[in-house]
Amino acid sequence: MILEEVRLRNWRGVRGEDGERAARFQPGLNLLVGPNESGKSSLLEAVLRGLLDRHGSRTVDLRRVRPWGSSLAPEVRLVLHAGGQRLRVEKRFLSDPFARVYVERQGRFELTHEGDRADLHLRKLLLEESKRGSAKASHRGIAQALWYLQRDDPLPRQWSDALEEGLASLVGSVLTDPLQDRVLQRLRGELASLFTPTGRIKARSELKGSQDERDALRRELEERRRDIGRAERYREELEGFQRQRGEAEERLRAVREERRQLDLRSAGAPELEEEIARLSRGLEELRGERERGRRRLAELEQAGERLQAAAVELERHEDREAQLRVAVREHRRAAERHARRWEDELQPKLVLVRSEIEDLRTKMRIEQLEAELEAIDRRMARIEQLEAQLAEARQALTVLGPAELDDVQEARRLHERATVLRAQTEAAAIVVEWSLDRDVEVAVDPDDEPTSRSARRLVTRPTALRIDGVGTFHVRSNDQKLETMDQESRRTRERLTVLLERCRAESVEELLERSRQAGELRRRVGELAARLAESLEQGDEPADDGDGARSPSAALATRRRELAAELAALRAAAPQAVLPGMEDWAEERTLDQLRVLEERRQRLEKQIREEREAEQAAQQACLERNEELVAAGQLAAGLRAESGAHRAELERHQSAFGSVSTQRQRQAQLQQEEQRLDESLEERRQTWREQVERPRERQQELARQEAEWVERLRQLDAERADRRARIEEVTGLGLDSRIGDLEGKLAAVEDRCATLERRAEATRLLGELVAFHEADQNASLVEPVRELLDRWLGQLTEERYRGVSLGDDLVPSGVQPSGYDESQPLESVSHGSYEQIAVLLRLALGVLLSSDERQLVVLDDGLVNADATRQQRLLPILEEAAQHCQVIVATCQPSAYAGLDAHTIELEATPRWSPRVLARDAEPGSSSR
Amino acid sequence: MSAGAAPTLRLLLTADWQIGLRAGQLRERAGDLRRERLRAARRTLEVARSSGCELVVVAGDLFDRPDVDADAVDGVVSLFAEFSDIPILVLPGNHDPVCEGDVWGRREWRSAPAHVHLLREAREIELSSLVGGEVAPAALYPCPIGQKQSRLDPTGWIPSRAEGDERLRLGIAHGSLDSMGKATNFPIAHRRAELAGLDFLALGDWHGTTILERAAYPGTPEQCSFGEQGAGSALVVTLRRGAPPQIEQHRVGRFHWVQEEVEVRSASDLQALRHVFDAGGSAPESTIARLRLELAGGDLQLIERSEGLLEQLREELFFLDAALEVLDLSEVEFESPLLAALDASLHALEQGEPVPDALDELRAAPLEVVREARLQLRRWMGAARGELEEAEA
Repeated sequence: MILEEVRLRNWRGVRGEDGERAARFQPGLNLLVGPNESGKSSLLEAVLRGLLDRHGSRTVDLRRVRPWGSSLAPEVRLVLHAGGQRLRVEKRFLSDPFARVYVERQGRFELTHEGDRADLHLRKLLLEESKRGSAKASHRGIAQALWYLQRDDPLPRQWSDALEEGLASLVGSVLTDPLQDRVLQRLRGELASLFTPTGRIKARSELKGSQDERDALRRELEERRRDIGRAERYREELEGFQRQRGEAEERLRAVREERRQLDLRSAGAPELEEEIARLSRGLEELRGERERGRRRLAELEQAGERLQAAAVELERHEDREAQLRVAVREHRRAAERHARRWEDELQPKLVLVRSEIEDLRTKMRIEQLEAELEAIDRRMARIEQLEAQLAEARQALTVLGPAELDDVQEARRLHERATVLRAQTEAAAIVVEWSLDRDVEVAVDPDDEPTSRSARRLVTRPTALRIDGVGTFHVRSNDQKLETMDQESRRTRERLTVLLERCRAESVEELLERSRQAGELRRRVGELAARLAESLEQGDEPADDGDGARSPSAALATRRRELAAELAALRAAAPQAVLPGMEDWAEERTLDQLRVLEERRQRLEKQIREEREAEQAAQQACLERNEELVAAGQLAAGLRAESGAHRAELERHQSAFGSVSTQRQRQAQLQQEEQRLDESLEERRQTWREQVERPRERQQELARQEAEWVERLRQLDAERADRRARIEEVTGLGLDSRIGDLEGKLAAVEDRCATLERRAEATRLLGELVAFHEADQNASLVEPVRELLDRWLGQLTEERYRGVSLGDDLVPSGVQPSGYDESQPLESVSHGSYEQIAVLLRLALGVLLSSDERQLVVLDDGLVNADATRQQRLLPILEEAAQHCQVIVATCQPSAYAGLDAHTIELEATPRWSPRVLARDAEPGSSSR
Repeated sequence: MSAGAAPTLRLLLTADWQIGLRAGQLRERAGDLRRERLRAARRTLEVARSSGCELVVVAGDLFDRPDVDADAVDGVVSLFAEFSDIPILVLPGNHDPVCEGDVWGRREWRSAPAHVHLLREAREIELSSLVGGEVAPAALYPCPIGQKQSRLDPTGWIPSRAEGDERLRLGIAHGSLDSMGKATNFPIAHRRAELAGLDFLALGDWHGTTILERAAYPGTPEQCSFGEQGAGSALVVTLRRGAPPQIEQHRVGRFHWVQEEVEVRSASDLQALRHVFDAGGSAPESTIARLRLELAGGDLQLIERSEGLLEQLREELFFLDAALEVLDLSEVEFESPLLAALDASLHALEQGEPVPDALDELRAAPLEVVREARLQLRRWMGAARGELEEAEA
């Protein structure tokens, strides 16, 4: 389809009675030129809406087309060439809308379509099937690819379905025929009716309905089979009950037969029971008699036993009595023996030993006292010696004078100071030496020492030398310090002298020596005093010296007196006989002997103590046995009396019942008789147990069993009746017929399902095969587009890009830079390049789709972002494309297209189109270069 | 019984009524067939009445299942009630055995009229004690079945004829004669009649009529499934002491069951098939058929004619189970390269020939789907061609 003329009225800025606008186009390249607001886009919009928008549409977008502030009805009239025909299209929107399509026949336009049919017919020119208007690019049919308007995306993510179909159809126009169209249409219709876009069976399809029906029938059939299966289960249960019933009947028969047999066996029970009763009575009487005899015999035997027991007891007590008498005697003799032993034998020995011990102790005491006295004497002598030495030392200390330690120290200090001062004075003194020729007196004042004819003096203070006959010389130091030192030296010596005098010492050395001697004496006194005190403090407590105070020496003397008195007393008391031979015994021997005697004494005392204890024990035992003897005698007397009573009782019983042997014989006879009767009775009873009792017990057990089996049979019959009733209930539901019907119906539905499934799968298979083969065909469409696009892109970019990555859906995904193997994403190229690729793609599609019939390609300022160089390179591409299809380029920059061989339509930038243009529109066709 | 002559007994032997047969294989006609079986039973009893039979013997499998619907039992009891002038002896078979919870203990059967006698015990029965009146002295030896399957001969208990016993001896059993030489269900010694001195052994179980020297299977009165041979009859048996039994076969079944596999190569094959039904001797509405048509090398027109014939038969016959399998399609000229490529791809898939890698997954498509696809393609193409021609006109 190409556009020849467009004429519009009441369209956006075009309004009023003269508000009509028109433009004519050539089949090749057309340049629609005009500044901004000149209406280029409105013109192109009017073409699109005239082709695609329903005349009755009242969308907001369409209402905005109406001149602003007016209620005028927008109108558009187009002249087209399509399908080898020249068409005229007239449409008015919003008010009194209409749509008309005229076809030129024999030079005249004849109305062929009107109203909705006209709308539909026009949309088909652009292969647009929907009724959604031209607002969105995806609703423009083939114009989506061939028209590139302002505000459109340069490239869509995906071409619309309609466009894809259109493209395929356009390609198919070369490859296909109407028969194929119809077959494929039928196929697509079938696929759409059978499957969802995801390939699942459609919910409302016949196949789905059949499958659902089949599944429902299967479920119901399964349910019915389960229901009727209950009858089979009941039957199995019935068979089980029947088996149980047979067993129960068999058991019941056996029980009843056994009861009958038992009844027969127990027929002679009364006679047997009567005989048993008779025998029982006889046996009871016999047992009574025997019991009485047994009691009598027992009484006899008990009396004899009691007599016997009393005699035995009496004998035992008499033996005991005799034994106690012997024991008393033995204990008494033992006591006497022990008394003799300790009194006559041990006690004298003990006395002797004690005497010897006492003698030895006296001897030792005398010796001890003597030694102690001797020691006291020695001590007292030493004390006297110490006291003498102490007195002597004290005396010597007194002789040494009164010098005290402080004096000595002061003397030493003064002496040292005087010595120092003297040395200093002499060092600073003036040495005066003289040697006189004659022996003249030389007086020195102050004079310290005699002078001679020749002498040498140290002058430390103003000194006058008077040399007799010569005169007097005064010598003095010129330094006052020397005199001061000299004076101090003198004062020091004076003080020392005073001190020595006070200490009655001649010199400091003497004083020091005396001080040393006094110190030694003091130490000696202290030492002696300490030793004396030590000697005094040794020994006993100090004795009272008579005035209340006790001195050590006095105590010592007292002690000595006491010991001496004691010794004297001991010597006086000690008999000489005791000690003979012991005088020379050493102390050790005495102690050994004393120890031996002590041990002997202890042994003797222990033996005596033991013997006395044994004596006391024997006496105690004797007393106890004696008491027992008395008690035994009393008991024996009682037993003798009891024995007599028993004997009398026995004699009484014997006179009444006879002797024990007689009674025993009778008992033996009765026992034999009882045994015989008992055996006979037991025999009868055994017979009774076997023939009566056990059968009766068994009868009871059998009766219980019979009742149980009867009850069991009743239960089984009830169960059987129940199951039969249930079977009848199941069979009364008509399930068997229903199952038959369901099986038949299911088989039919399964057949239908299988057929439909086979057909559906066959349709799906055909669809997949068609998709495969169409994709194959699409590849044949894409290839020429790609070739043209690649060539133009290289031409435009001067081989910067060598091609475009174009998918089978004809949507480019990337560009291929020269020198690189890999493709570069389309998003990474500049917006200008991206826009240019979109323009080239649309031109290429236009060329391809114009192979049969020229198609219109519209570019509304699509190259606004191209630089001048690329703009110039694009011109020959536009011219090449325009050789195959109609191209309309709208631009506000005509200079960019200078030199382009194109039909130019100029528009002016006025709110309303100028009368000049309108006048020219009367002759559509404007200028051409 | 004719006076002065040897005792004679005339009876109608029938068996295997299989009342309550589900017949699901007849799809939507299953219920109709069940009702038809009862009609066949009625025709059987009418034969007994019209043939002057003194007795009707049903030799087992009166019912198809122990759990047969109460309505079916009621139907049989009601039918028997209509023929109260003829004593009817019913032997339980392996489909309706005597057992706990069997069909014979059901309330519907217990209301059966007095002339119907269930032979539920294997013991000698004096016929007169059952039917009363003037009847030839005869001893019955019923061999009822108590379970579904068994390898025991149910007739094994029948005693030999005692010396001097001049009564007619009639055995009634259900099972398979062991003359088949293989293990069978309820095997019956094929010489049982001779061995036991029976005048006649009435048998049931085989659905085809089989007549032997002193024994016979009447077969089912109405065929139950495809493959059964000789069904649809009842036998009128006349017994005379010392003479072989006289047996007359009476057709009582309505339906003819036809099963055909036809290879269709041309229209003449279809005409031949049509002739089978036109000249088959049975009314189409009484014909039950199963057809398997295999088309080899046929074109779309032959396919459509085959489908048309099947549709026609489906309308005419009582029931038709038909399958049309197109084994190979003749080549068609495709003007469209796309359609030609489609058919070529389908042909390759059908024949297992190599296909492009992209189509490799389609090799798993079942053969019938591929054939159906080819068929659809031709159908759609034919329809499109018709539409174009119509538009052209």
